[in-house]
Amino acid sequence: MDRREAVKRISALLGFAVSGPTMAGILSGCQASQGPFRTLTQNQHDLLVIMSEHIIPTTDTPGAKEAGVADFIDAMLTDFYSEERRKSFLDGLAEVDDLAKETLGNAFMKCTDAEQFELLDKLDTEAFPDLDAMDEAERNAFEEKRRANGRPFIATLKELTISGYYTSEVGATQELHLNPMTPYRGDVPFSEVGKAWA
Amino acid sequence: MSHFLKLAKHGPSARLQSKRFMKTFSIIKNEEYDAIVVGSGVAGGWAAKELTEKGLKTLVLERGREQLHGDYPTEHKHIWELEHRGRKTPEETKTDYPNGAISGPIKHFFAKDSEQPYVEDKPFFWVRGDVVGGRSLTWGRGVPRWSPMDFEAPLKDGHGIDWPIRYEDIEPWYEYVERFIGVNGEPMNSPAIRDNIFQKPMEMNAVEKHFRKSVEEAFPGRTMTIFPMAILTEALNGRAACHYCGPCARGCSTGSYFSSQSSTLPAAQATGNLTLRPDSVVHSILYDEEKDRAVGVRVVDRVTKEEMEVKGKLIFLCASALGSTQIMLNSKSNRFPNGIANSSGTLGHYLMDHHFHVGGSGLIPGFEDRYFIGNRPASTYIPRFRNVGGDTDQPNYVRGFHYGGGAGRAGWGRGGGNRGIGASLKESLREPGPWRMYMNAFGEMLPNYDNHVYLDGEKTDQWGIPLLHMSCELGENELEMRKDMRASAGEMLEAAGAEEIYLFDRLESTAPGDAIHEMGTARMGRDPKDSVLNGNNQAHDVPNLFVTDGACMTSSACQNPSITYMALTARACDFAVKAMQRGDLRV
Repeated sequence: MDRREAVKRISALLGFAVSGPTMAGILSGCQASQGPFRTLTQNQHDLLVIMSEHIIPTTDTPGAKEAGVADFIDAMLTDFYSEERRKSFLDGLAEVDDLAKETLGNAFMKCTDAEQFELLDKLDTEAFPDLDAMDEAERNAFEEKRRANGRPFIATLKELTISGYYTSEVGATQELHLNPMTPYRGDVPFSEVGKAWA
Repeated sequence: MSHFLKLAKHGPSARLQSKRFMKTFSIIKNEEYDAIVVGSGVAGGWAAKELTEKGLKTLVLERGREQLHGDYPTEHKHIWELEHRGRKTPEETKTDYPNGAISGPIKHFFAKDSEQPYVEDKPFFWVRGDVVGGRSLTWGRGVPRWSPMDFEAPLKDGHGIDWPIRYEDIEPWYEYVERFIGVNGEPMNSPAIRDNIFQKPMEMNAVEKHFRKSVEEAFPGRTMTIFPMAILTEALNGRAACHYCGPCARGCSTGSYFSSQSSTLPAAQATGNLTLRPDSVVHSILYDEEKDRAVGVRVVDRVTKEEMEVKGKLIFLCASALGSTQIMLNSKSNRFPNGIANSSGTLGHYLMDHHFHVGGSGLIPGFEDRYFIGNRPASTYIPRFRNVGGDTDQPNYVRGFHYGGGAGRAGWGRGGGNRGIGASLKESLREPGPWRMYMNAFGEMLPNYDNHVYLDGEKTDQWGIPLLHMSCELGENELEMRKDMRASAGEMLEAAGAEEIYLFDRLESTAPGDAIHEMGTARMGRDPKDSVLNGNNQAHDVPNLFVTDGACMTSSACQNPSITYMALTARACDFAVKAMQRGDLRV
């Protein structure tokens, strides 16, 4: 069932309109990683659930999986990405799976947690090298390669994961906190606030 | 909060506003109004308030749809509750809302380009409010006054015609307007700016305070302050002080910033003299050759496309600069074959905007132990400091610019650009990042005959009104000024110890209209041969026709213009009603 349709039916059953926050809760409840998705296949979605959770893991607060980041990525790919960028992203996803088979002998899903993390971490390190530590020739070579190959998959995945996570209710209220509606104070000690505003 | 919401939603003004639309079109057309106001935005709302309070039975025609105060669908929504997490899709950007100021959560207040097209002979952004209240709901709310030098500049440097008024003529009206709308800020002690009547200012953060000190020490004669804003920091006239939720432009149920809904329309409503009709697209002004007066307007219903004529003794055009100009150009008669009140041939010409998207930013080291609480809806302000006399005068350009800006700490977005994944990434983003000071300059644009709008000879919109063509571009003076707008940001950032300074001039991606301060196409002047309006916003050619939106501007200064439109409107209403009572405007 279409999720908005589901909400409408629930509203009809209850006999009153569902409020915004409740609706968001219902929607995220429905988003329990069961397809069909708008762009992703079930397998691609499963991969993104795991990969995004490695990027923003569950610690003392929930991680990307609970925040529904894979669904967010599905929506972004569908509504915001051009055909070309969408294909490039999904090709990148498949390549990580291929890389896992080549180097670890298993599909990404079948690798251990530690192997999965190391693989992604290695890709991340390659995508974000310490440019200051390079000499000029190395830096030129890196920039040349970046121009030729475009933005690496891991960089796009990380960006999507971060923006999906911190704009979710989980990320904005449990991991970070919402800047309250309160008389403004422009200059307070950070210790009084404790962590970043969402 | 819920307390405020309740008051706003069920308070007297909301009730009155919903009642007023019970009137039908047929009732409207059989009445003759003392005054017809076209548009209900910043200028139209003020005209409605002033004219009704002076006893005139006033009809306000708004082409946009109904928008009741308090009925703001995205107000206080969390980001995860917004469609696309508040983003505008590329498709929407391309076909409907190309301007960056129209963000996802406020797009419903604006006209879609796909439904209401215009023709860009040269690149132009035409950002149009499409609801009752117009752009007063979504405006930037910055309200610095003009100063004497702004009204004197054209005469002094020869660019453009002399303003028919001086600062002293408008000063009491600034005061009158500010007492009603409420402005917060702090005295500026700047030669370029006259202070508003202020409520208590919003506080600067630690880095902004540091920046201000650095600028004032390194550059005597410059100052930085908090932007004067039409937002309440103290309750006023039943409107609550700001609760610092942040995104004002989604609408404010507590009426804490000035909008037509929060301020002028309820006041007009309270007189009992107001009729406001949304969905009323004004096609043209009716002109009676024998009487030599405007006698009403031709209206097309936005939805049904039904056409009719409405009669009025006094016409106030407040439909936005280009909206009013389009109506005037489309009002043709034997006497005015090129548009009503256009004997000078200047109608549609001398289009100006402010030019911006130029400035700089830089990291300010230190201050990691400082932060802020609440969402301050105000930027910082560096008033104009060039060409204000003595050694501030520039060899390469005339007039000047100011900076908006502010300092903030990098948020979670920085995580996408750095190395690292996993628990350490999450941990690091729990802390705010370094402070960055940002400066964006707004510059004055000189009037130029070639920058103009005109009607298409064939193509019309869905209401039968010829499409508007825009042909406008920046000139040499603006381009020279931009070099300084960029460089001056750099030197002030350096003086404040900024690192990784990034200076920009996004000339390729911006275009006139982008600042949404379009103005000047029915300008005021002393001589009917080179201007459309006189010093009272009255058409030289048609004494009962007034234009008080941005179209009337003779020059643009660099200050945000709305407060000046409000003051000019209130002043023009005062003049018009007195003239009417004397019998000068006989119809």
